[in-house]
Amino acid sequence: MKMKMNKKLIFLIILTGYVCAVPFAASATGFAVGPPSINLTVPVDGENTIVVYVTSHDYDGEVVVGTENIPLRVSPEVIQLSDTDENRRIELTFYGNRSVKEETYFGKLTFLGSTDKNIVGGVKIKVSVTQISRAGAGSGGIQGTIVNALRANSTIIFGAFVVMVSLVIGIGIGRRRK
Amino acid sequence: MDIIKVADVSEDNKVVTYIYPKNTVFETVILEGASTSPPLSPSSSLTRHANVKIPMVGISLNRSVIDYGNVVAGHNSNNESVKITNIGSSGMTVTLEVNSESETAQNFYEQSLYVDNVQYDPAIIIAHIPESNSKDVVTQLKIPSNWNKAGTQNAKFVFWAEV
Repeated sequence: MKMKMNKKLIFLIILTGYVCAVPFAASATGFAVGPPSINLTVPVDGENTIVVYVTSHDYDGEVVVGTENIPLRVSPEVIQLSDTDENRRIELTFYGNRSVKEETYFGKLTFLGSTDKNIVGGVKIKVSVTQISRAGAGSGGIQGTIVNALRANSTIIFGAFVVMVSLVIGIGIGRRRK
Repeated sequence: MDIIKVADVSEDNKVVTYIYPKNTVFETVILEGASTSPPLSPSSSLTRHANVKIPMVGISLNRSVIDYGNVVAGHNSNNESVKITNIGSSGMTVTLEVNSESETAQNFYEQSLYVDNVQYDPAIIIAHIPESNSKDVVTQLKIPSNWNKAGTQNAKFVFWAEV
């Protein structure tokens, strides 16, 4: 009889699908992020910065910035948003990662509302990040340009070097004979 | 506020150096969705007016908490709906991700949570919402009869918007 009662009790266990006891907020809150997609190039031993704009719709709190399928670190990781922010300019820096290949990674940049509540909204925007060597960096400045030029003309430069060395040797030999 | 330029003045603001003819239209670009820029100098009288807006992806939710209350194994909870509003500038899709505090809670929601009568799957798009529109999604717990772990199951529901 007791076993039967226990079984009944087990079957009658009250489960609480409980997300939180605090009454839910009546007003809608959220935020928007733009643009919806971003392409950028990051030198493997450097960084590159992009700009996104965030507008709050009565959302006041932290927004956690993260990535999906992008093996590069992004900073800052948290944005503090106030309910009056409109088209707020946010600079996000991607850092190169030597431990992954120099190639293009297609993923997402995620913006997650971070509150103590249990129903939250988030936004994902598409990101295409190409990690390149410093020499090939489009944004590598004058150094990258010089290295690229040297590489492209390496045959001519080597040929000129050989000719110059030959001339110097020839002149030296000619003077000795005199 | 629109500022209409009518004349140029000298650096000490004492001499009017040039008066623009009536109906001169200056080249202006208003960036909405970007930081405000200083007004551009007049470059010609050619009419060009661009209103540039940054496309946005945005989501707004009408509630921040759901409490399903006490539910017996083998039974269903009450329906709890969440109104999702697209506050972006184009149509968006919405997916739901459940992040639980424990493996037990995660298993519980993966087995029990239904959204619009479809079992929870983070890969499923639960809503396509056009710009400036809203959609109510209905969540419900349908607890399997063989579920035998009593107690409170906490989780965070994340509604992800993307285009």
